[in-house]
Amino acid sequence: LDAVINGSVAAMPAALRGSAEARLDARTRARLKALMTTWSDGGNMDRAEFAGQFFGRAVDDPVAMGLRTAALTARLSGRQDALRDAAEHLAGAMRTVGLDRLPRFLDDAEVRANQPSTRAALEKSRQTLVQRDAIRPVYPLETALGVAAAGVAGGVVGVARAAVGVIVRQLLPKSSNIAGRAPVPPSLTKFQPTRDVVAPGGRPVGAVAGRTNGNFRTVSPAEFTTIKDKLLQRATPVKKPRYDGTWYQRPDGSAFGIRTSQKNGVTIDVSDPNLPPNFKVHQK
Amino acid sequence: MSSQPVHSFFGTPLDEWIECTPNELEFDAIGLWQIIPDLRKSFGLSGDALEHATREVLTKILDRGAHPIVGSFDKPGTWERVTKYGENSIDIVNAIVAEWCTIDRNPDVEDVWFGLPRFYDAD
Repeated sequence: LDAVINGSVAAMPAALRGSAEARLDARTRARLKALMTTWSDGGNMDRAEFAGQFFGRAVDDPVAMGLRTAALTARLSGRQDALRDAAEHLAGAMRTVGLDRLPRFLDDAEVRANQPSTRAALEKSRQTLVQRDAIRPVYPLETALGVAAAGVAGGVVGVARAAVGVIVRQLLPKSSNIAGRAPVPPSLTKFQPTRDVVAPGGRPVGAVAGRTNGNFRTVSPAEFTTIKDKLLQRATPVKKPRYDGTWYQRPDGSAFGIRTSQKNGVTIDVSDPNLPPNFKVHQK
Repeated sequence: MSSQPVHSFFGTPLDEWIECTPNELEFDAIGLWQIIPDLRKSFGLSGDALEHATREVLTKILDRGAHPIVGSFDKPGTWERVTKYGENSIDIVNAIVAEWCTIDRNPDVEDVWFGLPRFYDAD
């Protein structure tokens, strides 16, 4: 969370980043960190309940949803691109709130988080929320190389420093770009909303299988792999023990699952408010 | 001219949608999360119309030999049969309609699906 909070400041435009308010003091950072932990505990609350309980706002409120995404992404994935995404969402929410109004916003958030109804909803959510430790983080090659090199050179302490260093370096913009807006990392430029992946231009991928409904699309193995890889970008695994596969949340608010059946091949189940509710992509 | 609702995304008339939905069993299990939310959102159904359409499509799915199933908690990646809704189609449809059509929440992918025996036997 410290890295996400640091990254959120770095993700702001240069003009804002240099302001006094953007230099979050230790107390503000500590409060923000504690609140983000609490918000992430509420990950199993539905969005409307989350927005209402924690912020007194509507489900479509960008601040509430931005902070929800930031807190959950930071908690559920150890991947650098996920942490960077969490930092971007946190930065966006803080900008919308206004850095000068952030302390008052945090005051209000703390009061709301401690209300009996919020605590009850939190307790219910905590009972089923996937713990970060239950998900094995996936680190890209550069982290592994950094860790390995440090391991050779400096033992355990070096390993830890290298791992943190790689993550922080990837979260923060390069110093040479400090005067301008932080450059958009390559992984962000590649991100495509789910609807653009499975229905580019409003036309669903693949073809209708047999005499099924239009929502059930079949594609070739090569197309399927491409679609799957695009959807997995910046996707965060979500625990759904009664789902016959692995379920993921995406930053655009959509979700999808991948199921593999020995008998029926691989299927992606898509849940996106911009698509029909029962959208499926099946590999031929 | 028919005045029946059409699918907001695909333009499929409701009768045709109901008729074609069970065909998916040839390829995959069908989740209740696919049925009720689509009837609500894509066809704009609610109340008696929602209940009627849900009954129709579930009956057709069960008539194809499908059974209620859910992802196995003990063996991830496999299905297990659900027996709490009863054994015959009428009881199953009544129980599911009673459970789901009268509440605001839509079924989720963790809720009941329908699959042929080969789905949960093969896996």
